[in-house]
Amino acid sequence: MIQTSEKFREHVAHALTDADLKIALTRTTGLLQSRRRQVIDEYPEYAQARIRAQAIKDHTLKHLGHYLEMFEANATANGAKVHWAATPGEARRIVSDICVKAGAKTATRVKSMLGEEIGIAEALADAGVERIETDLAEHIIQLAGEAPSHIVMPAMHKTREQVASLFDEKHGVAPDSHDVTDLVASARRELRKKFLSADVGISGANFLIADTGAIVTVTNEGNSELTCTPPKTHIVTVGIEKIVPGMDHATVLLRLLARAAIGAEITQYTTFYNGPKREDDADGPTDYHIVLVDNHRSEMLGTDLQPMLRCIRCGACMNHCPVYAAVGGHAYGAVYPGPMGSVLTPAMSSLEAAKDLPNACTLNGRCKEVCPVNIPLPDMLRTFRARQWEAGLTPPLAQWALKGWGFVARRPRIYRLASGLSVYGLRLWAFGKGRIRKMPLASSWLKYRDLPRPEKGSFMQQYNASEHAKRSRK
Amino acid sequence: MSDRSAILGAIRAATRACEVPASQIASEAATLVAEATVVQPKFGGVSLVERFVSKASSERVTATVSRVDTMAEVPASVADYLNQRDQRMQLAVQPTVKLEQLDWAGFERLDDLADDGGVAVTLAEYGIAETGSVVFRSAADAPVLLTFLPLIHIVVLQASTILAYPEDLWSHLGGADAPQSRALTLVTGTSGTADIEAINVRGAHGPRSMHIVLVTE
Ligand code: SF4
Repeated sequence: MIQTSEKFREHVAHALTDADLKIALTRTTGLLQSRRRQVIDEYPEYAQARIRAQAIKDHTLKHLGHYLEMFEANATANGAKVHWAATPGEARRIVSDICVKAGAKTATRVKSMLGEEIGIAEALADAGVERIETDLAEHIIQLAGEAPSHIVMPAMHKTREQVASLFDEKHGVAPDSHDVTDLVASARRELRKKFLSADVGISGANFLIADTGAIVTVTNEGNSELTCTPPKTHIVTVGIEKIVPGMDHATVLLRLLARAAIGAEITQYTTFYNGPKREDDADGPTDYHIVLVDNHRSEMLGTDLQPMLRCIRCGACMNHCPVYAAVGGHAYGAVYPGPMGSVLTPAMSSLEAAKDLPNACTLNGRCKEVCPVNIPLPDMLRTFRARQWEAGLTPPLAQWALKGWGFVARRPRIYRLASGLSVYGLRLWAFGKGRIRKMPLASSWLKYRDLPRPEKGSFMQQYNASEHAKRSRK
Repeated sequence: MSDRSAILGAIRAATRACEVPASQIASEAATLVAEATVVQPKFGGVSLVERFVSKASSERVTATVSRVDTMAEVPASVADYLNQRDQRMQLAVQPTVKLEQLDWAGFERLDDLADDGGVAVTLAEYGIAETGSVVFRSAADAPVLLTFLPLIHIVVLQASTILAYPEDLWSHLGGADAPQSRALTLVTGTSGTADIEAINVRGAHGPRSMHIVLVTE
């Protein structure tokens, strides 16, 4: 997709007036949050698993070169052809070359974010190959000519009513009814034959297993196995950070991935692919390629952005983000939306092109709290804000305000006086009600939010008062 | 410079301080998964079979389970299941000896499931008690598509093959150095999707119903 993060403000203004989007997001994020909560409550070992998951990812990243070479050797021994791509362009070239050599006319595809990242659609178009998206959500957005708006549920921005009219218009046989069950059945009917006649199947990988050379896919639909089995050629495109040492390590992460992403203990289908069809196998592709993609990941290693490479793409951070819930994924104008996207987009493109993203954050910390590999997303967004300041990218008004704050903050007496006065002022402004809805200079900020009426006095005033009370009790 | 050496070069430059002998990396990796019980969901007091059945038939997994004593009783149990659902006595049977040698008289055998709506009977190699999953590995007598093309998937599972956790499965299969089949799949229930407004619907592309015939022998 074409990145348009620099237009974040315009996108937001547009998104906030889209009533259907609001309905779609409200219907979905609430369900995802409660399912996740429930399944984690039923897993008392969660806290330990999270600590281990983080340690596994940190260990693997520390020895990334070692593990990638181990994976390459084992996958090659299994019969895979392993390719390396430093850039999305190189990855596209490799994929379209394979398709051309295979004489492919059609390709089925299982959704993967890495595929979106490198522009797999473009690669297939270059090779003259018809692309058939098989994940239901990707099928929906392919028909609608749109981009994904969520990393696990790419059509999260669509209401069922919108999907129904889309299928009415585009499916060979219209759905029997507008009931969600019939919509799913209609997509099944539409895609069935295409699965079986495709020349190439394209997947990503949720994990790479270094010591066996396996790639792992997880789906609920079973579209991975239907994509990776019938065609003669299977192409895997995957980011280099997806690697783990062995099967036991993958198991720790799989338990967390399903819980965080969809609120299940495990996805319906978890498949480990170990190479092409064995000589006497009943089915499977004879040609099997794995494309390992860097695209700025190696640059993040060894920097304060390294923890971002622990990400297992579960989507929990966006499901719990108030900004995402208000504006949806498209507003971010990039492949990766939400909190993790606000870190990845500037890391993979430029700070300038994505300058509003690190600022579109309330720093409420929910994303880090729900992240199964404990990525300090708010800290990383703060890092970007600091870098923006250094690069002179902070907007003039904010610069002026921050400089003013800096002046006052370095002078404790003036600071205490000013913050005490502003609390007093805000309480007056709230007119005795609990919320503030309008304020000069903050009208656009308050248009979609209320500010709670502040406590009596600043933190320092309250602290001093309570210390004083304690002393006088003694 | 090739992309491979560029990528590995950049990685090495960024992680240089961490270069240590492979044996040390391996032992560090092993400690990260030692004492797996720390992260495995416990189900103390319940047998493997009980746990498996309760998970497989739970609301999240939605399989149905019937129990028989011997493999010979499997066809009759399958017939009961199909009868109860007013299904035709028509099915594809996985071409593996343990199923082929059973008496399927009374059933019409399908050898192609390309048309939608069929029934298939397959033999799971293992069951996983933690999650109620069944395990399939591709082979000459185990086509992968038999698990994905039918609308009704009937799975024969021998109780003795139920393991507690996926970690037990990996060690049963011989670890990293044992030969691996092309595809190893953990199947937990039926093909589903929540892609429209997060509403759970079954039968996305693969089976809409899963029935497990659990064999005690
Ligand atoms: S940052 Fe964490 S919560 Fe967000 S997608 Fe990645 S792993 Fe999931």
